[in-house]
Amino acid sequence: MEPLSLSRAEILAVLPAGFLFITGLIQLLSDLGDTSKNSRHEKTHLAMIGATGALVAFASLFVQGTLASTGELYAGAMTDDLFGRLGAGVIIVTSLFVTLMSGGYLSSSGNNKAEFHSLINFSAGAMVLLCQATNLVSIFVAIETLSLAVYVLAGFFKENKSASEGAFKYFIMGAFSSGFLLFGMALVYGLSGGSLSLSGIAASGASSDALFAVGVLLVLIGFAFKVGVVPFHSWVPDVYQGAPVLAVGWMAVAVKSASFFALCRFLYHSGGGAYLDQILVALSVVTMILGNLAALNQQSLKRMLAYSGIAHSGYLMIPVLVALSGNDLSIGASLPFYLCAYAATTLAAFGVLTALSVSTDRDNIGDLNGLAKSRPMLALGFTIALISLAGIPLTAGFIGKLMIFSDAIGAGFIQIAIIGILTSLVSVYYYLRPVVAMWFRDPRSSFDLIPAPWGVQFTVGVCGIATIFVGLFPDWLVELSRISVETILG
Amino acid sequence: MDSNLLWIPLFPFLGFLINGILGKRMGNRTVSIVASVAPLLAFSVAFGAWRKIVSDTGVSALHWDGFPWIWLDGLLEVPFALHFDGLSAVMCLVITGVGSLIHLYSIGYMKGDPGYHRYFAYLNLFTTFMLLLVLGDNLLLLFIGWEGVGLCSYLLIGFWFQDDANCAAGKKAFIVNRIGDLAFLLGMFLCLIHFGTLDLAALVNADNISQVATETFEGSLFAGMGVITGIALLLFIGATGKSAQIPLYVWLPDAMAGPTPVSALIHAATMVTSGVYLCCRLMPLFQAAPMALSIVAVVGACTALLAAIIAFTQNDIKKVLAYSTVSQLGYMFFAIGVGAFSAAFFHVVTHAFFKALLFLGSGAVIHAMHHEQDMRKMGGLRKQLPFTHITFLIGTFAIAGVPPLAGFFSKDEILFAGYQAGIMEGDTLSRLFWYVSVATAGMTAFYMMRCVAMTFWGDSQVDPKLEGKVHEPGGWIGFALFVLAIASALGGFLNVPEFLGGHAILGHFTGLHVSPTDLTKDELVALHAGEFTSMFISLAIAGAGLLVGFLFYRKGSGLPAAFRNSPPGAFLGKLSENKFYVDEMYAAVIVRPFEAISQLMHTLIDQVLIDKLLVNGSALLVRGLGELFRRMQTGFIPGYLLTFGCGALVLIYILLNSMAKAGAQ
Repeated sequence: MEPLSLSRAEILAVLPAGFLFITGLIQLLSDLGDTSKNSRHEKTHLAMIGATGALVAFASLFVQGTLASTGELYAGAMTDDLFGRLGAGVIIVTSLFVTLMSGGYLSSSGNNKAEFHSLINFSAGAMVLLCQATNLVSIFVAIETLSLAVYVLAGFFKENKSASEGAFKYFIMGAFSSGFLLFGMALVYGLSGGSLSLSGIAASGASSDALFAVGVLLVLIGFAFKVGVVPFHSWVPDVYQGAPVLAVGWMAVAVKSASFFALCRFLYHSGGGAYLDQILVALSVVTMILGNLAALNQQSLKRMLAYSGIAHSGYLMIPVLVALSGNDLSIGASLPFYLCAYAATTLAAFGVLTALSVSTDRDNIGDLNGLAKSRPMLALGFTIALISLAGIPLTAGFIGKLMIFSDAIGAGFIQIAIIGILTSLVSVYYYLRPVVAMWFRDPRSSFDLIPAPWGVQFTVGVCGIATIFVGLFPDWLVELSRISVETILG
Repeated sequence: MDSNLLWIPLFPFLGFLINGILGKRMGNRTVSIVASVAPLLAFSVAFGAWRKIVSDTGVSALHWDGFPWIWLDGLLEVPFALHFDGLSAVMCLVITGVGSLIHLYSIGYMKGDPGYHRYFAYLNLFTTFMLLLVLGDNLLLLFIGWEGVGLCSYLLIGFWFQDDANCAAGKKAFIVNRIGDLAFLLGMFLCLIHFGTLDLAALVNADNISQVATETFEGSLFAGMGVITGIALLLFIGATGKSAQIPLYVWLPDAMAGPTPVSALIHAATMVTSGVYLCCRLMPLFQAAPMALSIVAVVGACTALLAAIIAFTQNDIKKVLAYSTVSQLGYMFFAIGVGAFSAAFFHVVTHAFFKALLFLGSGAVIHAMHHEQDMRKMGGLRKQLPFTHITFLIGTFAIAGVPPLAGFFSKDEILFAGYQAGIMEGDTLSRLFWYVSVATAGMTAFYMMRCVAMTFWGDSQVDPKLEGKVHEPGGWIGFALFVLAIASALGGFLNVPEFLGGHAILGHFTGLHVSPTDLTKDELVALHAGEFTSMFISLAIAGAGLLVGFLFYRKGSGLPAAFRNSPPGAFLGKLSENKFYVDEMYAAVIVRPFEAISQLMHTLIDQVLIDKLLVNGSALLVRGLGELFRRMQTGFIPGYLLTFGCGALVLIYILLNSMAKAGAQ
């Protein structure tokens, strides 16, 4: 047996994920003496360990020191390029904010256990690996690792019936979709002449084989399930409603980003997307329409955001499609940009939801009435998040939608751009309902908000400002996204 | 490169900002100081700049390159740049000079008005835009000023907005101007298409013009018409809006609803002359479009005559002056039409002096009479208002063309230009228009005499309640009248024609003077003979007008009543009193059909089709679908899995189908 020898690039490539895993372990160890009695404490040390770990992991993204891809590492299991690092960056920053919010949120309902914190970090590590994975096995392992962690997070409030129900549904459906994913991978593996690595698959020239294409489609379905694309979205509303708000926020931002980054890499590197145009168009259109329309009449904020998340997955299918079909490398940059913008915006929104659920378990839109009077900064943060989700100018969400639609038009998908614009027009209705409730309705006297935990205030503030900042000065992020997409397409 | 130029419009703008934002808290004293110092500072900067270009250093114009403003590489490049040459210098000095006086006058006139600070803020803003209009080095910047003065005019006409009539007058001014502005815009687009630039220097460049002059609107409705003619006509239509010419003059008389100093500054001295300024600025362009010029001449002469006839029967002192302004503006355009740009511009300057004086004088009367404007309720005021009477009389003689007052020289130049075009070398039509302009000169003298007589002479018709309260306004009002009276008396010496031993300074300075070249001695003699003849005619007609006016309206004369009782007198009087029914005609032909169509659109298209069917209908549809989708979410896992599996099957079908199609090709 050869002695294990790793190149410098290989060591550096696993640093971010490694730091996250280690952080999760340290958090577990640091809380060994934990009893159920002190799960009402905020346990600031967990947040501190998590934040330090996230910052170190984030810093390690820059150690490689080159924008170009390092090529295949670990015998083709993964790579290290700007596209992967951008995805990892989004995930790590998200984990930082979720970590900061966790202590205050969990302690208020007496569930503050180290497991939650470390599961966030474990799944984050898996997601970072997913962004970098370049062969079928590493993709599958990363997906399953993060999924298992997220199933547990979704059902973290064991005593809560609806949380358990949602988590269980999620688990069953997830197992079902993993079956699709694995079967698809098996087909791809078999028909490409036994190649596991994406580049090998692309080199095999099997892309015109019908069964191979079905295999790619089944893999796509596996990813589509993870990001909640119609008709594989059924779990989303139920899980969003039952699961802890922070776990939902984590799913909405990190799981979705990691899955999209990995999906793009899979499709572009394996050369399997040749016949997927119509499929992607169909998925995107159905998802945009159903997601937005179903959100219209929701009374529950969580369910509304669940459908809104579905709708945004529909918008995100557009750049995947455009980049697949386009021969112009400058388009398709909208995907990373949109995910970054969506991350900031959604984190701000879920921060506000967290603040609300700290004091009350209700989440009806009517419960927001008059929030602007009692908690103006919170209301402002939520308003910024909502108008950014709706894609109204001066926000990051607007620039993201603008890029997506103009890319679609540039690539000749005019109908899909029109449907996208029309559905986002419809979405303004439900995004503005909470805004109206907060600013123009009289407060209900029935409940009094206790002050939001500091981590929540920090998150809402920073993400709200980031949303506006990116909306006003998008150039740098656009450029970064463009370069990152070029590294995997070029 | 002279960045000091920026300060000329910037000072009034700062005044506007300070008064607009802080005015309410500052107290009227501070407001007046800020408001009147701003144009005075602008005047001093403009004066300094003027000194620079008249001093013999070879600099004939100052230019501030400014900064890139609208910049689409190669397509449209518009800098924010200012240009200060002879033409803009004179305009700047008039605007800031007369403007400063009117600001000072307003301090007295507007005393105690609740909107004091608002008034001065608007007035400063107006000055800013007017200066931008004359300083802009490209057509677009000029247009910004053009629109800006229109806005301020609207704001100031409706200044006392509690009265519906004032608001209506403001709106009328604004809307009528918009019609002209549309033509202006189209003209600008044509410039952009055919000249490729909006730079004023490039638009008057001889090479550019001769190049564009070959182009026509081939293949369109106006095939055969030259592009230059089209541009000139469109810009002239724009000018008819702002400068109150047929057919768009109707807003100016109504604009008298604003405070009187506003009428003096905006609706007599400066803004309404911006159309003339535009034509002078683009002189070479207009000269290259003879057909457009003859239309300008016709419109100008007709406007001059029509407005003069209407002025005969107006009883509101400000309305008389308003129609007189329309008539004088007509004169200026007539001059442009016959190619005498220099004369037109000269008349702009002198008119600014004497018409501002007349308006401010009428303002003094109105102020003293506690806002009574009907001349039939005045009379004999010269005893109570001796100073105002004298200055008003100077203004009247100036406008009538009594030598050596300002109006004599400028009007004489216009009449000579008309004489030259009509009698010395013209055809029947131009001859006719010369007669019209001469007749108008006489009518001007007549109705101004009527105005003076009804206001200041004769028996007092003043309301007994007011008797004794009427007194001479002092302070700034008197000062402004005094300075303007001097300017009206001496302004004519700016441009004494060569045959009277002058040097036509203004004409040379502004670059508008066209010297006859290569004349033989005989021709020169003939020319001068023509000038003398014309001058004699204009003197005679002015004298006749004044005399007839005096005979008609002197104390105890029964002539006006006698004239009105004769059949032609009754007919003409009725026409004149009703302003030739132009407003009624516009209402019947344009306004009412337009309103009817709007009403139809409102009920049929907007309320029924859009609101009910499209808006509410689509909202209902969307909501219904949303409810359907919401209910599809049952919560049962078997159902979810079924959707999942079926979805996957459908997708596989689509995939195989599209692959089969691709394979078949």
